Parts: sequence; structure tokens; C-alpha cells
Amino acid sequence: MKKAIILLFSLSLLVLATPANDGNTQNISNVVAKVEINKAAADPIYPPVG
Amino acid sequence: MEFGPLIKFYRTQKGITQKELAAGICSIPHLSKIENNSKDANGETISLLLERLEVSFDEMEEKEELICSLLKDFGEKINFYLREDIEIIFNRLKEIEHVIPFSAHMYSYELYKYRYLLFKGLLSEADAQRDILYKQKKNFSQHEMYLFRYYNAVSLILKGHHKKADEIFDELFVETNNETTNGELLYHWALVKSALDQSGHAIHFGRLALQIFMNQHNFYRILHTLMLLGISYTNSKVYEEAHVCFNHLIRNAELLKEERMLPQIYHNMGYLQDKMDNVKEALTYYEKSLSLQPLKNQNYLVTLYGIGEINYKLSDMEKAKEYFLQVKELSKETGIKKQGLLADFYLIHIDSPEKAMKYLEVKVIPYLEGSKEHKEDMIRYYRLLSEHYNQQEKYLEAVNYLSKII
Repeated sequence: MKKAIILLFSLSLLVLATPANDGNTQNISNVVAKVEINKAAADPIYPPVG
Repeated sequence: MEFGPLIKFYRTQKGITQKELAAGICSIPHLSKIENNSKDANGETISLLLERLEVSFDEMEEKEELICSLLKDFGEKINFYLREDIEIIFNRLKEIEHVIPFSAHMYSYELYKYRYLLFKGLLSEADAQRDILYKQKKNFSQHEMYLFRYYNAVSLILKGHHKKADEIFDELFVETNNETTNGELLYHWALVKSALDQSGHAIHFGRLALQIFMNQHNFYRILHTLMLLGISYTNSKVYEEAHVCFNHLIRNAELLKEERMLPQIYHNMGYLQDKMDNVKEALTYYEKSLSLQPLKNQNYLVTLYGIGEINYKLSDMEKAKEYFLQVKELSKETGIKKQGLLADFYLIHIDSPEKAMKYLEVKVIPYLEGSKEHKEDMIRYYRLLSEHYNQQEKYLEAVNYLSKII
């Protein structure tokens, strides 16, 4: 129930925050995607358990 | 030393009957009772029986002391991570293994054997040893029981079952009234906390362990703990402290000529620079690390992948492709899936971002969710997919991934 409310709320926020899908929005999304894909995802190397 | 079973052992080994052994020393029923430990024999009778078996009483007494001191040494060498010494002591214990069951240190020896197998990373042998010990656990002293549970936690770390290991450490810590001064346990617990994405706790236990190791001048474990602290500070975004740890490590590893650790330290310095968005510095450290890694193992794969990712960020797609292809191949050879899947994702993304998103959703995310990856890494991929669906006006799917972030 709680999750459904959160989902519904997030969906309404997303729809409200997303105006028409014009070129500008597309650009913003592309920028966000580029930032995300360029975030470091490599792993560290842990010391031995021993 | 339990002389009764010891006499029985040597008598059987030499193929002598009870009648032959007892002749002129004691009666056969008396010998039988001695062998079964149901009657205490006097020292003189024991000496005579051992003499007939060509086993020296004094030598046996000395062996008892030797076993005790070797086991003590063994525990210390493990704590100090002295690989060569551990091998030497273990081999010496092996030489007198046949008399250990008759000593008072039988369970301690079997427990240390379990620890030795874990130390060597021989997991299936360690599991077999754990099963043997499990059957004997009701005979353990309080300290032996503590060691058994602690080593089980170490085994769980090696198998990647960090949550279960964490529960054991928590219990052990509470039971010892938080007064544990065992640096090794604190170090292992910090490792677990770091793997569970609880960097704050990892730093707390890591610092406690470091203090103990410094008091003991336990150099290897100081280096290991500093490395763990550096990683935990990086993950907590306390970059300055992480930098201090790694710089300290580079200096000391070079001083101690600890060449095995240098590539790992350089890699982690690269990892820190990567997180700080110092892309070029990250690349330099990753390359330095790779050049010092002789074996194409898991560490090599992790560094190789890091270099591929940095080249991708720098938009050097040719080089990125070259490294990701190498990652793919090595991932197949070693059977380590994560980096292989991610390299594939980038390779597809270079040609078709659309197809890459599908691949991310169908292949990469289910694998990462199954292997309980760090939350921050997962968030990154959920965001990517959410943005992707948002662009396509598929809001339900977009919200689905957004809700995973919450």
C-alpha cells in the first residue's frame, strides 16, 4: 500500500515535471544520461582477508 | 599428555599384543585399563611401557610443550600475516601430527588447521575441516568455541556472505562485552562493513584495528588496514583522508619493499582520483598499477576495466574499445562476470545507446541485483534506465526504476 502511494506520487511528480517533450527536455535528459554513464563505476581492490 | 591412548597407538602401530607389552611390567587387564584411560597408572609403569615401545617418556613430555609453543607461534604469525613463517610452523606441526591427538591441544590444533586452510584460500578443504570440527563442538572450551565461530565468519567473508559474517561478529563483540582487543577481528569486521556498504562503520572498526596493529608494530596488517580505510574514506567521500591513507601507503610499501601491494595501492589511488573526477590522474594511476601486475587475475581485470572506463569518459573510443575487448576476453577466461558484462554494455553503447539500455536492463541489472552490488552503483544504473524511459515517454517504466532508488 505504502509503496503504491509512493509510486503514484512519483508518477504524478514525473508527469507534472515533464512538460511537452520538446527539444529542450530531450537535451536535458541526454545531459543527465551522459553524466550518469560517465560516473566512475570501477571497483577498488580490497586488501587480503588472510 | 594422554599416555594411555598414546601407548595403545604405538603398540598397535608396532603390531605388539597387550600380553607381549605387559609381560613383566603389569597385568593385561591393568594395561587394558591404562590404554582406555579408565585407570591412572603411575609414572614408573608408563615409563617402562613406553621404553618397551621404544618411545621416550621425556621426549613425549617435550613434544607436549613443543605443540603448545608451536600453536601459540602459529596464532601469532597468522595475526601478523607472515606467510613464509606460517608455512614453516605448519610443516613442523605436521611432522608431529600423530602425537597431537594425545595432547591437551587436539582441538586447538584442528582449529588452527581450519584457520590455515582459510588463510591459504583452500575453501573446500576448509569446509571439510569445519564439518569435522562441528561434530566435536560440544567438547570445545569457551575459547575454542569463540575461535570456531570467528573462523566460520572468516570463511563466510571469503565466500562473499558478508551479512551472515556480520551477524557473527556482532554476537562475538557483544559476548566479549565490547572489550575485544583483537585487531584481527576488528580488521575483518571492518572488511565486512565495507563490503556491506556501511563505510562509516568500516572506518570506525578500521581505526580501532589500526591502533592495535600500530601498538603491536604489525606492519603488514597496518598496510592492509590503511588500504581498507582509504577505500572506506573514498566511498564516504572523505577524499582528503583517503588521499592521506594512500600516500602513506605508497611511501611505506616502497620503504618495506612490499612490491605485492604496490599495484593494488596504485589502483586504489586511481579509484580515488576517479571518484574525485580527476580523470587524467586516475588513468595515470590505473596504468601504473596495470604495468606492475604480472598475473592476469581478478585484480588485473578490475584495473583493466577501470582504464577502459576512463578512456570512454575521455571520449577516446578506440582505446576504450581496445580495453573493453580485453576485459571481455579475460572475464571469460577467469569466469568473473561483472566486468565482462559492463564492458559489453559500453561496447554496445559505443555503437547503439538504445541497444545498450536493453542490454543493461536484461543482462547487467539482474546480474548486479543478484550479486548484491553496492547501492550507489545500482542507483547509477537505475537512474540511467529511468532517464532512458523518460525520454521515450514510458513513464511507468521510468517511475519503476525511480522507485528502486527510493
